[in-house]
Amino acid sequence: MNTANTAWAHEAILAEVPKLRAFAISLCGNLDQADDFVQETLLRAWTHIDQFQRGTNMAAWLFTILRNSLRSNYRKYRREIEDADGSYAERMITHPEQNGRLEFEELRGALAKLPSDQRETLILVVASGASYEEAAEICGCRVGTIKSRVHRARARLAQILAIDSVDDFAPDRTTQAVLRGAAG
Amino acid sequence: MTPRSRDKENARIGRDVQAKIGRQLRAMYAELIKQQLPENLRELVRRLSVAPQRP
Repeated sequence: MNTANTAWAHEAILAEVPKLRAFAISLCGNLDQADDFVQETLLRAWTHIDQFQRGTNMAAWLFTILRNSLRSNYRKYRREIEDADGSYAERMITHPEQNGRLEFEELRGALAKLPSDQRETLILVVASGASYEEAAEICGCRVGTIKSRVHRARARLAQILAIDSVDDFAPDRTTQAVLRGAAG
Repeated sequence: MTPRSRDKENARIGRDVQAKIGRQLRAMYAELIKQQLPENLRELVRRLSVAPQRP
């Protein structure tokens, strides 16, 4: 890779850092571990930048590295997910509303109960907005498998959260409280 | 409500619930993306920013 391409790749890698970190936190549920995984991913990507083909999908390449790293260490952080005490949600400084934090915790707890393949697929496709094709590339499986995982994950999440109607689920509890306050 | 109209209503609720879950997941993810990077990652990014070659 020549100097201009290397500079371009460098910028493209750095632009993905916040998204990589969001993905890592969503999957492993521990801020410090997530940051370690992101750091490892950045260093690995930078070390192997020659393997990246310009014109292909940089985000997918980086997410693949991160995802493989997370999966190979799954046993290490699995316990953290299952026993997570919400400490990272406490550190989410943009969640001042108590109701918002509780809802965030409910969602995070429900995500932790999903099988890991469904969790990562749901985060990729629904939360991060990756296409089915991109998610299939990142997860190393077929598009049909991704679609199936997303479908099952959505259904399971609704079941775990015991959502029988839209009114049961949440940020609207916050919204409704605000509206009640404004009305009163 | 007939069984058919009940099925339609359940399907509508299902779509609404799934849309709601989608909004919640995207909101959670957006919150995470907005978080400031910790010092060790900022430092790594700085190092890579000033020296666009292999570390």
